[in-house]
Amino acid sequence: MTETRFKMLTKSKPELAKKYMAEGHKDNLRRFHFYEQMAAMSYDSPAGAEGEDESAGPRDK
Amino acid sequence: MERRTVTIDGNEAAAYVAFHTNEVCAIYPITPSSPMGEWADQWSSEDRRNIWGTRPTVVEMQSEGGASGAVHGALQTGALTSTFTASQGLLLMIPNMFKIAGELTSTVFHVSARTVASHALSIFGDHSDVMATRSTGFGLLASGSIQEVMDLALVAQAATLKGRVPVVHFFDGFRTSHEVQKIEELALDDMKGMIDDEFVRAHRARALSPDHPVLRGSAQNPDVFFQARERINPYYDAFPGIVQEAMDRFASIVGRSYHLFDYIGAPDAERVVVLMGSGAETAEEAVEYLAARGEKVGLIKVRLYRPFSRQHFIESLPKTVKAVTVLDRTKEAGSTGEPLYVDVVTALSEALGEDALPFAMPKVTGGRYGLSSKEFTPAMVKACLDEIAKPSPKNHFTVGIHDDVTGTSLEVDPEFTTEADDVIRCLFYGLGSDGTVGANKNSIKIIGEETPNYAQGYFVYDSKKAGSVTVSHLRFGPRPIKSTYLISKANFIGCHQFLFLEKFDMLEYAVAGGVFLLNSPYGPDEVWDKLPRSVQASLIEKKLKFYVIDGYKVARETGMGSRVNTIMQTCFFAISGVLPKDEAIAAIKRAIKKTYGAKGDEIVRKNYQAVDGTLANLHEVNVPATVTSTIDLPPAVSPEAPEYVQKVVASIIRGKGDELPVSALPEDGTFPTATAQWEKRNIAQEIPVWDENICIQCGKCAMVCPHAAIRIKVYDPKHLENAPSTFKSTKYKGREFENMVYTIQVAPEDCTGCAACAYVCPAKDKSNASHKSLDMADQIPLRIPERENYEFFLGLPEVDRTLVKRDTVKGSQFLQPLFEYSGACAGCGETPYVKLMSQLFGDRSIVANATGCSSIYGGNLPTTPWAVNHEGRGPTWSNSLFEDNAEFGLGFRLTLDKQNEYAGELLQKLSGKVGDNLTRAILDADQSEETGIFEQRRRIDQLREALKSMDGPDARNLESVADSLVKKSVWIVGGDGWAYDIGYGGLDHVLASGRNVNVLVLDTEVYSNTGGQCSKATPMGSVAKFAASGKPLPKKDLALMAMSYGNVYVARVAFGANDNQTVKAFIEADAYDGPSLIVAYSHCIAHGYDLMVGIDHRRRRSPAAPGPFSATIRTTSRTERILSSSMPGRPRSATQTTP
Repeated sequence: MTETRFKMLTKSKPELAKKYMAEGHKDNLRRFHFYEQMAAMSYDSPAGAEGEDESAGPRDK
Repeated sequence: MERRTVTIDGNEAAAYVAFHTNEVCAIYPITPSSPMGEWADQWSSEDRRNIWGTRPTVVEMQSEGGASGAVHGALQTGALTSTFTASQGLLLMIPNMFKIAGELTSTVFHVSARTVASHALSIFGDHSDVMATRSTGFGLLASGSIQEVMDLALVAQAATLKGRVPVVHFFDGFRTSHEVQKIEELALDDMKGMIDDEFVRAHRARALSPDHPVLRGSAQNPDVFFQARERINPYYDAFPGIVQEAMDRFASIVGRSYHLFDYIGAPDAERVVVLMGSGAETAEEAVEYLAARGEKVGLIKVRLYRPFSRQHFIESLPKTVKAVTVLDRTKEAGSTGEPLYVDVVTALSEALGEDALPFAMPKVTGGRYGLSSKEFTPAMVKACLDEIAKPSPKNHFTVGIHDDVTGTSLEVDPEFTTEADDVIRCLFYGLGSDGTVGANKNSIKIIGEETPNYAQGYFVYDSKKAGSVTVSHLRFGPRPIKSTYLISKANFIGCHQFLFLEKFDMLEYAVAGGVFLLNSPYGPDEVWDKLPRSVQASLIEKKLKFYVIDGYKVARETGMGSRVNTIMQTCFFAISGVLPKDEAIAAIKRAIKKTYGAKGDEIVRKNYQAVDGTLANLHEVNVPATVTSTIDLPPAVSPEAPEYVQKVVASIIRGKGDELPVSALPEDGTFPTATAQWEKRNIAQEIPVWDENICIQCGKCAMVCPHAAIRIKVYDPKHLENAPSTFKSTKYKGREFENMVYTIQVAPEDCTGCAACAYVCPAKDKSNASHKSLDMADQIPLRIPERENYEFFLGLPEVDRTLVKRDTVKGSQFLQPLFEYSGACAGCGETPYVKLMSQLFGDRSIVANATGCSSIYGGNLPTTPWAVNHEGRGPTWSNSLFEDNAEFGLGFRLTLDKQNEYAGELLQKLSGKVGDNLTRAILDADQSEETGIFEQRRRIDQLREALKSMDGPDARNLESVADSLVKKSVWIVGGDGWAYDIGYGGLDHVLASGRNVNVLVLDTEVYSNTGGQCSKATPMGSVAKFAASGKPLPKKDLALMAMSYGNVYVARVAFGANDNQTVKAFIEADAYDGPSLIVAYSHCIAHGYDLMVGIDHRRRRSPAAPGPFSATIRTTSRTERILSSSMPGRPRSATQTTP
């Protein structure tokens, strides 16, 4: 907590600061995992996929 | 009734009334109105209540357009609603203002009137914004002083509720919005007495509700629209009377009396000046002074400008009037006169025609004054009154400038003054970052609230963010102060930076026998010999008392760093004696607690220590009888600078821009680039010193430098032949430039001393851990030798760009920056990206810059950091508005593509004459790499040569568009306020266009330029203005939203977290033949830490070490795979981001 913009709330409204910190951290993890999953996705068509049901969406490698 | 006396500015005065008499405020930040919204938000977060005992809801919108829409909706559903704005912001509200007025809706918009951008943006004050709303149907009510702002805000609220005509209550931006004055605060009972609940309930009863449904906002056809429009007339006819009623009621409750038009001056005046706003205060001072000396002059202060009451205006004029001169603080090019003048002429002429004029038709002239907060003084008022006394006075004149082009200006006597001797006047020269303004605001509050004196504070800023100069103008005296102009004769002058002595002749403003306080590294015994001749001469000639203190020493010793504000403030109180010493110190400490309490006990404690440590270090200097100095003020710019820089830029740098005549400035707002190089600001206390022996040649120092003030070259050692003796070089360590030498060189007079380069330097001395390859050292002893070294360095040849590995930090930093020495904050986190872009593509870039920090450090006079290379090529730059930047940049691309297409058509048409080989080579050129672009430029040179010998329009037209055949790079640059909020709709559309533009979002997660307001990029839990209780929701993921299109190159970058990914992202974005978006995390002074360590805050925010509020994606190898992976059917160079 070295940035005043975050530190200020811990002084003025400590309970709220704690809540936001926890929720913000959770949100960061959620987003990061989302990107991780995108990073792990394959954008290539699976072998022999031509003509198959496209609604199945992209598959994991 | 007991009322408090408070010392506040105009914004706070307006917000105070608006907050207590409304239920909803929908707001959007724009200078200089932002503090009104900030106050409302803060009070709401503190659970303060309005006069009905409920807490108003304050909501920040994405733009003024959005704010006015929300206001309209809230009003239509019955809430008492207000907003605060200025300038372009008010213009964005105009569509809704027509609706609100057309629907006879009660509301007050509080406007700190500001210049509308035309040939240039200006944040300063005039009435061009308010005048642009004349046709909306809003009433226009003007306040000229802080007390009037509070009083008339309430009058406006009361009148609109009764009369149903909405009101713009306006006052002058900065001069009134930011002037601090001691005033009487209205009590809540005053407001309750003025606001009639019957009309509040009537407002609610008109609201849209499914319980009593109506339809409002219909579409109408030619058969009835006109008639329906005329139905409002009775309300406008009645409204002046209703406003006067409210004024009279206010007088009965509070005691201060106002009229629609207030007359001041000689009862038998023959010459009358008419104006509104803060200028009327100055005019009052001048007219009273002249009338007391027997001149038959008077003043009409216009309060209610619209609806304009002809009857009230004519009744306010003395029957003896023979001449009227009307002053407008706006310009309407091509009109028959400015608005107030035209209205006065119309009123008098109509009355004359109807035989309703109680005096002979007076001579009437009109003039312009005070545009963009141009000074308006009693001497100028006198000049206007003198002019109209002439047999053939100038009409449509200007006052306050020297118009040598069309000869409109009046002569002004600079010696004329109306200031009373018992008013104490003080000037303080400070650095933008040293806290001088904040301390002086506290001083004014202390004087205003702890002594019987009336007090006034006004603060002048330049537009630099690092090393900016602030001048605080403080007055106090026994009567209310109406001097709404700068101090030109001061009893006390404080210079908080020794360096300023060689930049400004500040003692020219000192009165004889005054006081000069100097923050000096030299003590009382040695300082005399360090002063310039002109300073010594003034001290002697004016018999000034002279005091010195080493404020920086006290600041260092008490942990205050470079903030000398409370130290200098303590000196001021000690010397001036305005309060007994102990009382003054107690008051200063109370102010410190109030100002810094929210930032933590440690900051308060350090400030207390600084106050306590001050007086022992304050010394009076014995002023010798003769001038002994040989130090002259250095020229503002080098004698080698171009003529324009010598004539115009130098004057502005010297603070003498007011003296430039009209002819010195361009007709259309076009200026040369590459001018920052001439503005040697010398603001660094310390600069980096390079130890070549331990340098690992990583290039990180140059990469992080926000000001391109530390540079790297690799070159043939033969060029060292005439090197200065202290010039350093070492053998280059890489293979690509074998046998070459390498130099890192600081620009000593351009460095801001942020120390980011030394901090990031990874090369440590193994035998001495405290020594790195870059260490900071005092600038003054190094200035001259390093100046010589830097000049030599600049003369060394630039690297051959085709040999450089551009996609690495090291390689990119060999490239010449074409963005240099900007006025951005010391340690700015944005400018390294802008500089990098200029290094990589600057010679072929065209930049659209959203209004914000980047447009100010990029395009605010006197100079621009955008520069040119040795061929004269460099970025060309423009700023349209805040909200339309993406569209503006798209326009660049549309032109480039169209002209490229047209040039190709012409070339094919002329191929027989040009030659098939050259034609094909040009049209088929591969310009994906720099080599290809250089070759294409050579071909275009050949083409131009060939075209010279050809006749006919096709050849001439091809000449005019031939440059478009060389690849250009369009960069759309702006901050998160633009990209996430006000400009998001346009940005979204431009990204969806598929056109080849590059968008660079400098994401500081806050509105940096306007002072740190919350944007949708602000992370959860962060405290910002308009988020006083912390941002309750997470940051918007702009990158992810852009990725959803599937055809946009998207990168999120943070140099420091991953430097090479940052460089690569820029190169890939430029190479991608489609829209690209780079969201660049930028540390910022608004985040609240020393920017020297900004790089740490980037690292800590990376996923490798996630802080609780870190962003979701940075630069790990996994995420890089997303950012650079190719999608099916597209080449890898497209570096698609989305599935």
